[in-house]
Amino acid sequence: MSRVSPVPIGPKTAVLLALVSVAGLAMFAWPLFASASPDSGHTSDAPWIFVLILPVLVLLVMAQLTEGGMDAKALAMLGVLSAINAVLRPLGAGTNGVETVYFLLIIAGRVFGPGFGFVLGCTSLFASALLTAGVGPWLSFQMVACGWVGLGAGLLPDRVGKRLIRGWAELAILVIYGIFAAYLFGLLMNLWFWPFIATDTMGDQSIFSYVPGAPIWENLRRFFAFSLVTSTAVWDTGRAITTTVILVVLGPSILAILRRASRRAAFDPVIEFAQS
Amino acid sequence: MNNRQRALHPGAWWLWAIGLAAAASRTTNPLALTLIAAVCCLVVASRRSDAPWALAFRMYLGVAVFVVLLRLGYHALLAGNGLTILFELPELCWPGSDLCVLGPVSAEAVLSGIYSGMQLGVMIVCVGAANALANPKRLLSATPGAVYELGSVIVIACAVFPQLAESVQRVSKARQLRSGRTHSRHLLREVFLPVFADALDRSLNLAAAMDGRGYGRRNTSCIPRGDTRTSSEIPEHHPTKFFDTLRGTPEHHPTKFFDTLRGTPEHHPTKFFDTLRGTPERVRDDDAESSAKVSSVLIVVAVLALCVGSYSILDSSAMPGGLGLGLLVGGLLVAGLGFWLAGLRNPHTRYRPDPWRGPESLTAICGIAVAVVFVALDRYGPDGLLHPPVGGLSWPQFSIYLLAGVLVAALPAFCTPAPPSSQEEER
Repeated sequence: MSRVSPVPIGPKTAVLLALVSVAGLAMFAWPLFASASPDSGHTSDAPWIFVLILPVLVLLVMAQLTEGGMDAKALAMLGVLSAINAVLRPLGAGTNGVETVYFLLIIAGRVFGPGFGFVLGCTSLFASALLTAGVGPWLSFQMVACGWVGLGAGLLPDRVGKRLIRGWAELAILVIYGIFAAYLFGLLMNLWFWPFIATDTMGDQSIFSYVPGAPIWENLRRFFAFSLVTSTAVWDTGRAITTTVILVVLGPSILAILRRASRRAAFDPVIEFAQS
Repeated sequence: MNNRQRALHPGAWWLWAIGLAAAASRTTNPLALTLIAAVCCLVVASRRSDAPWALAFRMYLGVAVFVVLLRLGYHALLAGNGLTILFELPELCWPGSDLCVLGPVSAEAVLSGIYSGMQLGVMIVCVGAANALANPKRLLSATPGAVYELGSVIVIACAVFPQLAESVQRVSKARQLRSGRTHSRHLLREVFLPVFADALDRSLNLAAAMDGRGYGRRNTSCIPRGDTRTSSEIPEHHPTKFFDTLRGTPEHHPTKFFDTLRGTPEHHPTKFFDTLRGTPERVRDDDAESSAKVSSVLIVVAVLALCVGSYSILDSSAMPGGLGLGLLVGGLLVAGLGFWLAGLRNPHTRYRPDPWRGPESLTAICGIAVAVVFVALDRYGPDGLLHPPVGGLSWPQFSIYLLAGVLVAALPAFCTPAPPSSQEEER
């Protein structure tokens, strides 16, 4: 049975998604390659302008992604999975990097495809923010980063040659991807947070500060030092371990449940009746 | 002024809060920032309802304080480098490198940490104020047509959320009643998986019910293009007929719930969905398809303009200054147009839309006015007013314009209708 996606990605949507992903990545990573000429008044506003523009980009991508016509089954599935993620998220928050959102995102992206994974990442975070009062300037960045986690899971190879990847091989791939995604997500969110918390405002010589306009390698070195000290060692490792444990313990069952739901929902193209 | 109690349009509160946050982003003056935060607290205290989202404002205040402390801690402990040394801490260095933490703590570092931390903290308070004042449910119901699907997903998620708690209780009760092993080791597998499977099954029932009522249907792809037949003319085995057969389902089938709506008076808003059944759906005709093409082209153009505009902000040498900003504004306009066009394809009416009257406009204008005052002061005001230097350890400047500018934002606390109490809000 070939994979059928409830949120199909056409060529136009794929181009748009790629464009927005590149732009989004630039909005995360701007401290590394921004030029800081003191006369250009906008460099210091850059993070605030991005905070305003990224939600617009997310909305535009959503409008285009839903263009293909999601049916009620896809909507209901997205809504229910988002609600489950919104329940799971506060369970882990605050307990030292125990993150319980990623495993469901990864598995849903794997089963329902990259488009569904991206939308689910965004809607999960948005619903969770609405329900637990987490709306803030960080929200659209978290949404995009989680969208990428789901998108990437959907893009993992489905078959080797003619053989479908299932069973232990699939679980191994998902676990490796989960660890990779956990660290990358942590790094991305740190990168977003870094200039806000640690901008070199007064010419200090700290090894952890962001220095506007410094060469990319210099800032990259500083960023990794900052990240390693503040979060990678504890939070991101905790996130990777939690995701791995849950994937190994629950992964096979959840994959089976989602695949069964997918079969029952029959997300295949709708049969069209021609007029005779 | 309108004396009746009513909730303001959520968009007005968000515009007001974004204006205040934009003003806060222009300054590191602790006096101005404190004033902005105080105005937020005043308006929240006088105009919030007693709904759960309104009570979360305290949490945002906590987050803001945490951010100030974080930034202060970072500056004082990791990046301290000033003239006035307050006290010395033992310096810890990574062997064989210049990676050092702690060491001398200077007053300048502490001040700079507090100033920049307050900037971020006050912006968080502004967002928190919008969260406390604007009803998220009303905001969702104002979702533009282009992202109608997204809005429905969030609505479903918020509606399913409490059901999950009930589901967890039911499953754990069943688990306790079952004989045999009930080891906490299996808790995850024995509770989470049944709840999960149950939720997915329910989602399929929900989908069938939604489909039958016309929710979540944008283009009726079951009906061939140009088909203008009404429901009664469609042949018996046409797929859309399936939902009509649900009428004959057993009494406790979940979709039956919607049938009870049938008994509602003729002009009840839910009746709208009944009319969808009988109307000739011409959504997918050629007009709509060409407008879909135009809207996707507009969306791609808007994204391109926004990307290039953002790039020009980062690298001012790539483009003359005004062009980048122009591209951003133009991109936003094109995005709005594409959005509006994409929304046209969506034949859904809005249930009791929130009105936008005088108080709404006043609130939005107050917020935006503060942002305008701060941008003007930033450009034409005296040096060091909005960004006081930390070097001299002097008291930050203040001016009457700053005070007046911020106090404008407090007007909504007095000039808007009071929010209804929670009993009245249940509608």
